[in-house]
Amino acid sequence: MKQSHIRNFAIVAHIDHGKSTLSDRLIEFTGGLESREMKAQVLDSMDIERERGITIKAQTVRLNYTAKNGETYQLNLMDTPGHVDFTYEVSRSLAACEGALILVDATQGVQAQTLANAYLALDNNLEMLPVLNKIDLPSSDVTAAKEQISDVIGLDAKDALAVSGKTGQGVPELLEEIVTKLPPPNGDANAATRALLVDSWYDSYLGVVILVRVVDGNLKRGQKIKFVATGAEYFVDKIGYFTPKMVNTDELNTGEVGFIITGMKTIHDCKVGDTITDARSTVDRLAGFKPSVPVVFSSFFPVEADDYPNLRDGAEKLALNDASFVFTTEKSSALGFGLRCGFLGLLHMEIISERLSREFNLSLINTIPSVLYKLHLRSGEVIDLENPADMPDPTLISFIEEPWVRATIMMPDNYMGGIMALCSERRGIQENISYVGNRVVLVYQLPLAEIVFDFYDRVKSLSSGYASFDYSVFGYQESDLVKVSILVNEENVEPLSFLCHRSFSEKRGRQIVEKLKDLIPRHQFKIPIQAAIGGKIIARETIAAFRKDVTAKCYGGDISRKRKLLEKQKEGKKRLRTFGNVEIPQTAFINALKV
Amino acid sequence: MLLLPHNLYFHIPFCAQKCNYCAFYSHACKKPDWDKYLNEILGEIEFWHKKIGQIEIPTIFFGGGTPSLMPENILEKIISAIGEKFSITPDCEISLESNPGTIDENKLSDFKSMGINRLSVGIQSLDDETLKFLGRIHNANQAIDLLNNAKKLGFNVSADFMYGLPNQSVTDVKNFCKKINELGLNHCSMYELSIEPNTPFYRMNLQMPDNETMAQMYESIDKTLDLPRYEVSNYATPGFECKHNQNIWDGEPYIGFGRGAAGRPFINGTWYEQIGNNEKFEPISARERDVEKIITGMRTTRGVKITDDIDKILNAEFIKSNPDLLVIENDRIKTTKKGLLILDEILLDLIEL
Repeated sequence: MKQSHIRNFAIVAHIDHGKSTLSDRLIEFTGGLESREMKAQVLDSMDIERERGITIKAQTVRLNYTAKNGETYQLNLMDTPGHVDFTYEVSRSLAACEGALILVDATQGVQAQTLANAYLALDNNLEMLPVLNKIDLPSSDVTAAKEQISDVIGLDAKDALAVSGKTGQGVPELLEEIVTKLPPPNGDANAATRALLVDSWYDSYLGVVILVRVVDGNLKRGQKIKFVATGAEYFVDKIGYFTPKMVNTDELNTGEVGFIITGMKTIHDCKVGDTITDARSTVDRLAGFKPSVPVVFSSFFPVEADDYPNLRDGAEKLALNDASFVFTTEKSSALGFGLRCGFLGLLHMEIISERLSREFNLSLINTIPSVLYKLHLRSGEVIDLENPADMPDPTLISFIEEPWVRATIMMPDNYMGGIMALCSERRGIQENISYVGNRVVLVYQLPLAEIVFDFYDRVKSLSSGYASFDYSVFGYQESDLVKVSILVNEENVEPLSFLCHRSFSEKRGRQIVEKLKDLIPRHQFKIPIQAAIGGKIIARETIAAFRKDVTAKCYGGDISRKRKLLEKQKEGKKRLRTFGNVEIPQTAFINALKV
Repeated sequence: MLLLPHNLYFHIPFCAQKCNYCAFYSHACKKPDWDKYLNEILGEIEFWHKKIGQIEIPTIFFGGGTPSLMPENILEKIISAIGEKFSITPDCEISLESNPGTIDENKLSDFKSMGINRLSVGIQSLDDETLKFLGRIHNANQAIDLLNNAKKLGFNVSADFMYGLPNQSVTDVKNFCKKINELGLNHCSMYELSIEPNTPFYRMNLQMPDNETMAQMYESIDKTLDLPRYEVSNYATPGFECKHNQNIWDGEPYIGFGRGAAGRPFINGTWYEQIGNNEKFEPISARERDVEKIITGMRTTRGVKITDDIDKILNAEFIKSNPDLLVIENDRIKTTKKGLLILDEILLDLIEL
């Protein structure tokens, strides 16, 4: 294919704005699949994608489109991940494109993720084509949506196309615009091979499948290639593209997008964002994109200690297809063996946790999510701290930095007060505020630690579900952080300790202490439960000793039941963890950690 | 063949009306099919006679349900069948549970002549409003009349009461005990109201007294009631304890008759878990039976005799380190007053499984 006849583009949209349906229509209109295959094929693969969650990160489809001028074009649609919360995942798709469709649901208008992703497209110097979707719905308001695109994103939307992914209305016009308005790739076909490693995943039949975008030169079957960052060399066993079916070919030329398969066994051998070149060439690395770094951490423990090998096995299987999910073994005095895990974000964490439970039939305890702190020691050393349990003696610490995010929240203006109060309560700093009609766009700087648990839920409930929210980490800032320890009967219960801003320490400490008061069963003695910073007690509750615990009636008919209950309770007692003579049931940990 | 005496328990699963707190197996019905019931019971008596022979019967207990609903001729046939197939000891205690409002003086007198010598009266409360709340069909005066009639006829009389009701205070319980003292009973049971699943009370979301209040109520009963405690919920003038229950708590064999009635027959050196009307008959190990003996025996003030087998399943370390909860006297282990109050918790540590 002539380079001038290639168009690489992505569709960026807020969740549920109809990206998948529009993609289906584009495939159908260009004959990527027979209409008979349409349902079966596409939906099946969608099922798999949904099943695999975030791991099939950047599916691509090559569409052959014959334009009105009679010429045939190769359109490479880079599907951004289903979960658009993953800014990082979106940006890796965008790095392989020259253009982006900014898809907006005309019944809902511009939402937070539309904006966040549009900015990403802008950062990648992509040509942007605003498109309004769902015009078949009576509640759609094309004029208002166009105004919002101009006002909020700053994109000229006068001539924006209006389409319906459902009925196919406007899709032929859209295909034409993709060809006429989006630029072709501008690599050098005669230069040494340079291809961007966009994504990779593990397929149990094929091994590691690597998704590439050829920037300069070409990639051929049988060619010996080199991964520039790792220096690893492999032969290209198979090369091809998706229609969305996998189609083998002999080569991928400048500007084209497709896959290569080498003998590589695990995806950890290839770094996403790396540059691939001919083994004999020496080239400069492509700009690539920032590697994925875990920003949220939590520990997963099996409820049944015997399940630890299954947990580990499950996590390893998931990590095969998800290089951004990292974990190490953790041993907790309270909860036994578990995994300390790092995630790209909260949604990522939820998905991994849910998949482990669902696909590997595990019941898990997840500890309070934490973030990666940078500890500057008096010795001048800087260490990363992601588990409060590993915090060194505070006297050794000079200062601590924590990650901050830029959060964009959009909502109808009548909910603004509540959301702003929430943001400032969470140490937020207002960066910008703008109005579009009766809608408000708030931009806040917030510490990541303040949004890792219930922030999104609070935003949703404060706005009756109308607010949309997106965030990206922008850097580290010094912060007055303290480690709060929880003491039960004077003994430190390490798995319950957490790091937080000093101004919140008392409130959070009190919350967890109050919760534990109801969760730990009464004993024969009084049990003090305390929250402490170093040696200073900041909150205290006492569990009264229980005084009466004896069954009122025990006659002939009650005896079997009583014996069996005793046997069961004794079994349960074996599983209790003892801290300072206090037996803490696992349920207490589970519920105390549920914030 | 070793034939130990067996205590007999007969379950009468009929009531005039279900009480709001009750989770026992019983049906509220106007006209129970007594003939069918009788035939089943006679069949069971025959069955056990064949299985176990002409054993000695030290106690018989008719429980319910509401046994006092039973027509005279039915009870008579049951008792004579027992007499035919087994050997009732001369001093056999024969108890029957009764509810005020289901039995008059004539029936009472007939029951007496058939051999019933101990009458347990379900009174629950001496306050008419409370009786209504509990779902009882009688008032306080009817209950007291039944007690007096039974005493007059020469029954060994006991009464069941309930405390720890919603909104009740420790003072209320003390006053309740003083009123009970006036009744001049030699035996009574004081049950803390426990909310059981599948009862109307369970669905009513009642505000129950807290654990500390319940403990104080329990202690105040011990202090206020004239009768000394001999089991967690039972009080009697020494010599007037319920022999049937004492035997069962001591771990002696018993057989249950009627649907849902549990038993622990001991045949040819093996203990069985048994439920009446052929619902269950399975061997249990001697060790399991010893665990049961400890569970029930520790509920009595005389405690459990430490035989070699019992000694093997007791946690000696725990006993030694908790002298405020447990004591050993004359080869018997028992709880202190403080220990009895938290017996369920103690049993978890005391018994080694």
